[in-house]
Amino acid sequence: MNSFRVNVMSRREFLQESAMSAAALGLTSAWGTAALAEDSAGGKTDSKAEPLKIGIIGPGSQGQFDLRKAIRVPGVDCIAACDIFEPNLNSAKKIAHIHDDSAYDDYRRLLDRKDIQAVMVTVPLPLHAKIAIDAMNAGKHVFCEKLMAYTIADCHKMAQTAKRTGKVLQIGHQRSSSIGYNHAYELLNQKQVCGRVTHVRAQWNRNGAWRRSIPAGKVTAGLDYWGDQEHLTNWRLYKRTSHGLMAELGSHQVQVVNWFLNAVPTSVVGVGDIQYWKDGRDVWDNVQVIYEYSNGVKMTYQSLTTNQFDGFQEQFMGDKGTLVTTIGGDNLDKGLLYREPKAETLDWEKYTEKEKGADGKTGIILNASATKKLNTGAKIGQETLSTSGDNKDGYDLEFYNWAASIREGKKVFCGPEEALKTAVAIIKANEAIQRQTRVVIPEELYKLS
Amino acid sequence: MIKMSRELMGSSFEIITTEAENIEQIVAQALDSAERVEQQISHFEMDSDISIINRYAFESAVPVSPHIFNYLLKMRSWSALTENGFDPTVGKLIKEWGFFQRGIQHAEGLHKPDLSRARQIAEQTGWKNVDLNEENSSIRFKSLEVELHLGAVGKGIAVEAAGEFLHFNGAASFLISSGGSSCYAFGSPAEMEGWKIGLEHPLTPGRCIGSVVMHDCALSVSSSRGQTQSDGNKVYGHILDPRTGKSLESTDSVYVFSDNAAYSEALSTAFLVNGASWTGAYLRKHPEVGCVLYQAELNRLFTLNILRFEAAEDVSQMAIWPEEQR
Repeated sequence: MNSFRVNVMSRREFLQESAMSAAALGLTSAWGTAALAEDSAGGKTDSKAEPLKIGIIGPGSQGQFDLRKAIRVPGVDCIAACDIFEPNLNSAKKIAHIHDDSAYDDYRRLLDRKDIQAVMVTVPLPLHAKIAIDAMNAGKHVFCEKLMAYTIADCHKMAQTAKRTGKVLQIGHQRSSSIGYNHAYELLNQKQVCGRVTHVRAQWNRNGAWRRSIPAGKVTAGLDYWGDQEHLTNWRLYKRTSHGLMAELGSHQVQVVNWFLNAVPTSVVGVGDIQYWKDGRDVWDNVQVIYEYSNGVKMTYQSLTTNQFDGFQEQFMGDKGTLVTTIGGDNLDKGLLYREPKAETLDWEKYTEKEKGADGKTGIILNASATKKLNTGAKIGQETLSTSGDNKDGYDLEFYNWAASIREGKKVFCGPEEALKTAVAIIKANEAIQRQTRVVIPEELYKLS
Repeated sequence: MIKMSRELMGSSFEIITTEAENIEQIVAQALDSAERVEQQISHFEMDSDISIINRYAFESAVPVSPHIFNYLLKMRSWSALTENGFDPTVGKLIKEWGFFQRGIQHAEGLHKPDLSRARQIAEQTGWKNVDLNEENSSIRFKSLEVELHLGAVGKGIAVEAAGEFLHFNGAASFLISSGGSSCYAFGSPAEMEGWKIGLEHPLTPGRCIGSVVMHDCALSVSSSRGQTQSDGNKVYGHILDPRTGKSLESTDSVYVFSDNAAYSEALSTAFLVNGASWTGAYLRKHPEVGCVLYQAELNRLFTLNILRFEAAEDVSQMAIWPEEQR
């Protein structure tokens, strides 16, 4: 049994309690409404929350998004920022009300600050390891965006540094913090709603170049590394700095699948090329891979940039049903369960909403509270559950969890061990595509030394 | 004489040959073979063998094309011969020092690397942390810190590839040069004993410290001042001691002759790292290798195992190879 799951169980127990204490119940198409900010932060209320002073390194588009989420956690205060692109730095200053004298373009100056306890590392992928390791060595706790690092060796080094320094290291696979996904995990594993899962299909399809226009503004440092602003702005499009679609999109799904299956891929084959966007990029604009898992499950994965049919989702296919997980509007997570014709009716099914898909199949809309209510014998009401009119998605809870880990030593939902498993699977998938061969993934790669 | 060149590995790759039938076509194909080597070994080309190895070889074996695998075996033996003065597994160290960009001669504003970190990298690299599996031509890194960086040896491999092609296709006499720091001379131009090559002063372009006549041999030039950075106080050269992680203090230059351009490159680095005394001992044991050592500060030079060398008039040629460890 994966030790990470013990943690999920304890969180689940908490959720069960909070759902019980909240009298209002509901069946909405969105799930995850039961999240309680205060409880996620460890029972602290706003006024009592211990102040946590953080800094952000690399507030680009994702970094700014993360920053907005992080500073909504009670007591979390971002007091410094660092970026080599002036407009990004200005945005971070504005978002978090950071003083001019705490805005840097050299992250080492930010790490020199003794009053900063933790940093968010939201720089492009190839810099994750160096900056995260330097930060932990400087005594800071770290939140680092996914993918964990550019090479497997660097992932291991980050994990070793976290262990040696005793600092919290959380990697930004935010689905691991989502109530909806945790609920789906429970349905799949404890309730076995799909029976025995034998196959998984997952995808992230988009229709767009994935290219950003180069914004106006000054790059104040680091151009010797990036070469020019194109390579800085569009770092995702170049293999030197990016693992492409598999890392930037696929890693979200692979993380979920590894977690839900309690397993890791043992081999992978794949194809990818530049089929459509021949604009100077060297990362593939479409990828298709097949993973074989240690428990025999096969997973097919696809990411396209020329057709967005079905968007992004994961489909867990078992002999009794198919569980589809995704993220709906407002970033709230959403799931549908399709039972196989031969499968018996679930005792809690009558409490759920059903949705007829375009293909005529009926799906059960999953809700974090439907099964809970059954457990506690409560009646299902019709009201929409809303604890404080302030729903928390996976991103929110990821930062609540990060803060709680720093303050109270709680285990992070996506720590080095979990993130490493994803990074290895992603990097190896790209190796299979690159080398046009089946790549066997040695078990040792997944183990922290 | 025919002269053709192509921009390869960040500098001009040049072939000069004597006239012959179809020679232009042959030379163009020789340049193609050098370019193929660049595609196999470049750090800037993400689909090269070396980049793929560096991305994927940690704790899992990555198959390598036979040509590159043979060179990996050779490099491992050259590291052993030079007591790891030459070590192509220290790519991370080069990155730590910031000597990784192409075509930059000197950079200001060096963030001096953390020497304990450099030392740590040095301790955890080396061939002992690399598995070369000869049965299936694959490579695996056993340490987190290993990263291949072929450096100038890459130029040597490209020179060799072009040379082999020319030789195989019957070119009677040619001179190949990669960026002026690695060259191979075969045969001789008409009525000459070989190719006369000027040895350029390490700090003053255009000035020569001497000349040699070369045939059927390779030359590599190496100087710690070939690429430098400054932190405002001190200038650091790009030659790093793979065993300590430190930048070399020496301002010496070496010009190393052997029968293989890649081997000359490996030795020229190792000779600078290991110092004059060690180099002298090596040369006495290996008469097939020749060397000119130039000490810019003192404007004097030494030679061992070199025939047909002529020093420039304004440089002192010393009779006895220096024995002191500089």
